Amino acid sequence: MDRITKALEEARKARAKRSSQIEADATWQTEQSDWVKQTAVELKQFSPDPAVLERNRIQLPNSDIELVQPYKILRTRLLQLIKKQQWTKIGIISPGKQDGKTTVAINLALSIANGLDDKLVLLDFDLLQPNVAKYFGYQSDHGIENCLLDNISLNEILVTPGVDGLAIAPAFNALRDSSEFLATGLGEGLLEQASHVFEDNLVLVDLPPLLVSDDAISVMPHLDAVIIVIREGHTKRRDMEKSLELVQGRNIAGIVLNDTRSSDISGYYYY
Amino acid sequence: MINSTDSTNPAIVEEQEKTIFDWLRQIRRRKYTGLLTAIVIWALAIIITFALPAIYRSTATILIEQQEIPKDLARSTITSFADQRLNVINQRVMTTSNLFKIIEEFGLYQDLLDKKPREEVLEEIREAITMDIISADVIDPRSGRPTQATIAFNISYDHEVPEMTQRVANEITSLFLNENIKQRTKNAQEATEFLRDEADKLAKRMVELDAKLAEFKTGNVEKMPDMVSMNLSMIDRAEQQLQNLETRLSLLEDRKAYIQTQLLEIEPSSALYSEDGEIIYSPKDRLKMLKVSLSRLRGIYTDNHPDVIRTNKEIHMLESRHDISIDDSATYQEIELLEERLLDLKSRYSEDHPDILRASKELESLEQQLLKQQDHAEETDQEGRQATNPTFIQFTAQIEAIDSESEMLKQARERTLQKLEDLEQRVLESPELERKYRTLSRDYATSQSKYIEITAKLNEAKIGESLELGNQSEKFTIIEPPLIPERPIHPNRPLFLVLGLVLALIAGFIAIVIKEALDDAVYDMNSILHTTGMMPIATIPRVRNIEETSRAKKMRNLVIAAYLLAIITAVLLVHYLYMPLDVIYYKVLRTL
Repeated sequence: MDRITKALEEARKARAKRSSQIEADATWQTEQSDWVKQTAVELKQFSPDPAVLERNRIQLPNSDIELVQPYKILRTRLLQLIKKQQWTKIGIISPGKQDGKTTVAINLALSIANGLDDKLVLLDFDLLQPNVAKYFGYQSDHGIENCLLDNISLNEILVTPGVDGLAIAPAFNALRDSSEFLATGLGEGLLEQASHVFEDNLVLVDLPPLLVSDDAISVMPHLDAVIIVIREGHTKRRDMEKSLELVQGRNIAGIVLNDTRSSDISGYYYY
Repeated sequence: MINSTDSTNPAIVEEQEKTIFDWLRQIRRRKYTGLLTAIVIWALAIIITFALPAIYRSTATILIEQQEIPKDLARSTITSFADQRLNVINQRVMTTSNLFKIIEEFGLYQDLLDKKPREEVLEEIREAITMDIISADVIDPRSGRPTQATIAFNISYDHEVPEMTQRVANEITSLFLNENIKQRTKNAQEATEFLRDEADKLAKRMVELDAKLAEFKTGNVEKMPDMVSMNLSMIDRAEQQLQNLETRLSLLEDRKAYIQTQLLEIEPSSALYSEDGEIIYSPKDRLKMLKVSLSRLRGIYTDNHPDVIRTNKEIHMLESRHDISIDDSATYQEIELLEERLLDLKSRYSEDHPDILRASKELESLEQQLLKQQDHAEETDQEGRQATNPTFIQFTAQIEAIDSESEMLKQARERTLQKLEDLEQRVLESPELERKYRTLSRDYATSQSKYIEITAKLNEAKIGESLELGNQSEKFTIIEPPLIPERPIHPNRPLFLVLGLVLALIAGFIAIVIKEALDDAVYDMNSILHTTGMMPIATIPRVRNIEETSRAKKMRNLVIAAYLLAIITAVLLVHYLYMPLDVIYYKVLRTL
């Protein structure tokens, strides 16, 4: 019985530690504001609720190393490749839903933005189920859907969560004919705009699942490369195969194996 | 640059061998599936184990005791093998009527009787009663080969109520014992009865054969085969005798012939002489002589001459006295005269003339008279020719003697011939008779030996019977009476529980394997490499938010609690079902 109480106590302590961390996050923006990266436009700023971020597995500046480290590896390898290939527009796709595509996109974006000299714009092109804003706990009247429908300028909807060098183009409402809109010049135009938010910034595009709609396929010609997110124990091999067929002829920046429980690469990261 | 134009690069596609770590990972991945399956199955096993009604068994052990008196001294007539006999008894005990008597007496299967047909209830009780034969390896004293000898058997009864099992087992055991005694006694008596009948039959037959043989013997004494040689010698003797007789007969014949030739030369009667030297004639001769002299005298003299008269007188006297006519010439003459007259008359008169009739009548009577006279004359001639010559008489007497002797001999010969024929017949018939005799005597001998045999057997059977009646032969002894069982034989709960656990583990493992086989999901980099031909650029480990972490913790606590509960349950089960814990403790102590 001793062990159990000890374990329970430890758990309680851990939880208390976590909540204190979240409290500490409130000071996140102010600390960062010392070295502001150059922007072409004035970005609306919002303060995400740390609790929401935590729930959605978005890294915080003081997050555990286990959470931050893998994205750092991903960022570094990706950036090396991108710079070598001189790519700027990278799409993030996955074969199916629930593969953790948006989570990876946000964390990767934060990871890149946290780097010393990289700026980027995160574009939520998943108009079937827009999640980027939701994961940040951000609400607004205007999203990408308004850019497509009402011809609003991208600059008007861009926000920053207080991280220097990161702009987010959120979407809020699902768009039924998203692929048609994205396939037109509107989509390409938005991408083009996005790539000029900062001086020569990267564009990370969150796309709908490959096998669920043709949105990703429509947008892909305008992208330089794609990252494919595979979720361990969730993505089927045949879906993976099908996806590869669909992205044939496109550049694949890399495959990310998400939600792993094995310790093949990152050492002892098991819970 | 990574380009996916060639999406599957065979150069790198080399599925690696699965290591033990892969297996362990798989199991860890599926632990909830496996655990859940195992728990469900074990729970089911536990429920079944305790839901099954407890069946108790009460067993009686019965020893088959060999007969106490050595078999060489008294042999039982029951020779079948003990197990065979046991099975027969079993069949006899398990009859419908017996079983129903038990069912009624103890009120068994009342719930079943209402629902099911009687046959099924009977089937139920038959299944509940078991007979196990206990054998021992022995060496057959006769053949010297190792065999199985039945030394004892168990009778058990299974029921849900322990007390009932004991009572019913008791009842069935006593049925077995009684049936055995009944059966053995009956068999022994039957054997004796049978043998006695056989012996009686044989005795009767022997008497019959005996009588037949005696009859045969007396009816054919002289024809019996053992008389053949005697008969043959008798034939020999008879033939000799016959020859002898023949010889004697021919000798006699010869002699007779010789005497007869001599006799022809001798006058039968020699002359008789009176004192004065005259020959004395016999009256007949005298009559003849007188008649001759008369006719001589008549020639000389007249009828009145005294000589003639005297002679006539003498003739008449002789004739009247001796009633003999010397000859019949007078009658002849008269007949001749009458015939002459008749002829004369016939020439003169018709045939029916009274004279002719008278004459022919007269002639007839005369002829008759003549015939009479001739007969008489012959008689008198015989007498009259009395031999007087002594030689003649002697010879005649000799012939007569010879005749009578030869007659006797002839008769003897006849008899001998008859006898010979008889004897030859006997000898001829003897082989046939011998055959018959031999058949008869053989039958008799067979019957006799059989009778002796049967009588010996009968005596043995009688001893055997008395063995059975006195319970001296092989008998059943209860060495362990049925007891009230304390622990059910079925279900074997500890075993069921252990089996259930094993089964549950196997099922859990199978569930894991099936789930794994059906799951097509990506689990490691190898499968990505295999499918896409490229290694992932990065792997992102699972991240838990606070909510999930606390849920996982709760889950872990729950699992720990479940483990504890399972351990406590197992200990309690062992304590109550298998062996009290303190007992186990002491046992462990003792072994240490």
